[in-house]
Amino acid sequence: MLLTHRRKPNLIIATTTPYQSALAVIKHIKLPLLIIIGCGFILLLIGIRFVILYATRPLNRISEAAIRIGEGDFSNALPDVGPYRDLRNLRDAMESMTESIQHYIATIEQNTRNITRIESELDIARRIQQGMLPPPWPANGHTIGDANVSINAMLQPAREVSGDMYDYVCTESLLYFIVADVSDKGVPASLVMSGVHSLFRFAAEQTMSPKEILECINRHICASNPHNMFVTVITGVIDVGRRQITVANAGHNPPLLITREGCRYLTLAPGLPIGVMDDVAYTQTSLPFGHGEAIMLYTDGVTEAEDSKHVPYGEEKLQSTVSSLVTHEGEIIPQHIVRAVSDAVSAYSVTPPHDDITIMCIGIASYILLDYDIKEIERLASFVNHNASQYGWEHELTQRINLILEEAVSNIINHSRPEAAHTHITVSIIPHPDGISMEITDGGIQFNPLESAPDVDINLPVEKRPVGGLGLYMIRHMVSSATYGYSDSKNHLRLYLKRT
Amino acid sequence: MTTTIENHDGIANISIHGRLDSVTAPQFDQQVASVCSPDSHGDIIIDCTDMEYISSAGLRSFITLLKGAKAAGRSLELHNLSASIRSIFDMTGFSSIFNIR
Repeated sequence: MLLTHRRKPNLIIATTTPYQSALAVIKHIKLPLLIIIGCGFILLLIGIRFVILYATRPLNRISEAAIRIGEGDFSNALPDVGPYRDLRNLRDAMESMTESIQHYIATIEQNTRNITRIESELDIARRIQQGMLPPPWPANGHTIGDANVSINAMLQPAREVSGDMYDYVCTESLLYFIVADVSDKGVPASLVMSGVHSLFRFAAEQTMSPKEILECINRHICASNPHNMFVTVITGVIDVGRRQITVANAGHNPPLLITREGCRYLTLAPGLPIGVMDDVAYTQTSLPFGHGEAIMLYTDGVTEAEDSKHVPYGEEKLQSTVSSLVTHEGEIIPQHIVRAVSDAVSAYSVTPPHDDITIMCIGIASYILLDYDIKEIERLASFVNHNASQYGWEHELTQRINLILEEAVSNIINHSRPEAAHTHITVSIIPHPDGISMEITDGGIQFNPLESAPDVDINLPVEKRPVGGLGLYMIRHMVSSATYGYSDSKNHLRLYLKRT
Repeated sequence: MTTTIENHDGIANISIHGRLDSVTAPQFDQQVASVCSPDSHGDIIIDCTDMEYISSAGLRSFITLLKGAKAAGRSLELHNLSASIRSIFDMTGFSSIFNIR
């Protein structure tokens, strides 16, 4: 190794030292030096870490407080952050934020409590409103006077509570009914509706006429109607004994009258809706309403249900839907009509209904139910007479139908009485252009009247004439066709009388 | 149905008002029982002017009455049958066994 010193310009001292010895010192101190440097570095890191930890302690405390607040714990005060201005600002901002959050939480809790209370109150209101609807009519109809009357109705509110309403009240031989629709929906409408409902019940119990019922409801609603709500109402009464229906209308959709021949809208005198003017005089219309006929009432939620192109369902479609259910032979069953219309409307409208939907159908069965009691022949005769006036039969024809049915039914009562007491004899009469078909069904013991009795020799002298057997002889003699069958544990006797 | 029975010069005149059917025929039988009792005699006239309707039960009442009368040697006449009731008598052959005027 060559070392040179240039202390003096003209003098050069050169010394030579072996490389090994020159670096020997360094070689000796290298390891301790490295250890010292390493240790120093570690100490430095520890120092720095300590300083950092110390300096960020307030920040950590704030961060911990933020986590606690995030977890919903507002009980601890925010930590002291010492003299650092920025941290103080942060702490103040957090404090204000915490207060705001606490305030909002309190508000949300209060609102949630309110919403829950309102929801539960609406639910109670809905149940009260449903409780105000009349109890379901017996599925097999109910005998009013001497006729079997069936009613079916449905109410589908657009919201929790409804502005629609239906009701029926039955007295001895009168059946009052109503369908109403308030100009609004939801709670305000339902409040007005309950007033209308109570007034109807009151008026029906006083056996007012439909016109008087409308005038009574109108007077009372107008007297306390600061928000000028109005209600469209259709109400009427079926006089079952006289087979007559009387209807009055206050601005409501026209009802559908359904007969064997199809269905048509009743053209009623249009009256102002309830609640518009207090001195309105309403008019009522009476028309025959007999066996095998029905009336359907509904609210505009049916006809105004819209498809995707906002085209309303309309009266025409409603009429054709109902018409398609009517056959000349078949029984008009209110339950089927209501379900079919309801299904057709929900299939038509793509969106959930925006208005309350109410459908009600009332029908008088084309049949009569008789007990196994010979006294029932009187009810049978009145049933035949009602059909006679309904279809305009001449006396001779009425007599023959009377005779055929009396013979058949008295025969069943005398010979086919069942063991079970709850079964009935069902008699139905269906008119045809060239004759009348009659069907007698009973749940008594199996008995074929067409085979049972021997034919009567009408040429025997009086001493030899048997007293019995005449009835069945007369049936066979009068009808143009007779069939007997036994199915579903029931005797079915079908008779056809040709018109002459 | 109501029945009135009057006796004039030994002739029992029975008038029927209303329906003679399965319900009313037993009442009719009871009411006319006295007319057919063994100790009564004389002819019997049944006036059907106001009889609206008759079924086999009513016909049975008539035939019972007729059999009783014949056995006692009395005559029985039916008066003023309406066309529709007459047709029932024709159908059942009763026209030939009853004396109808």
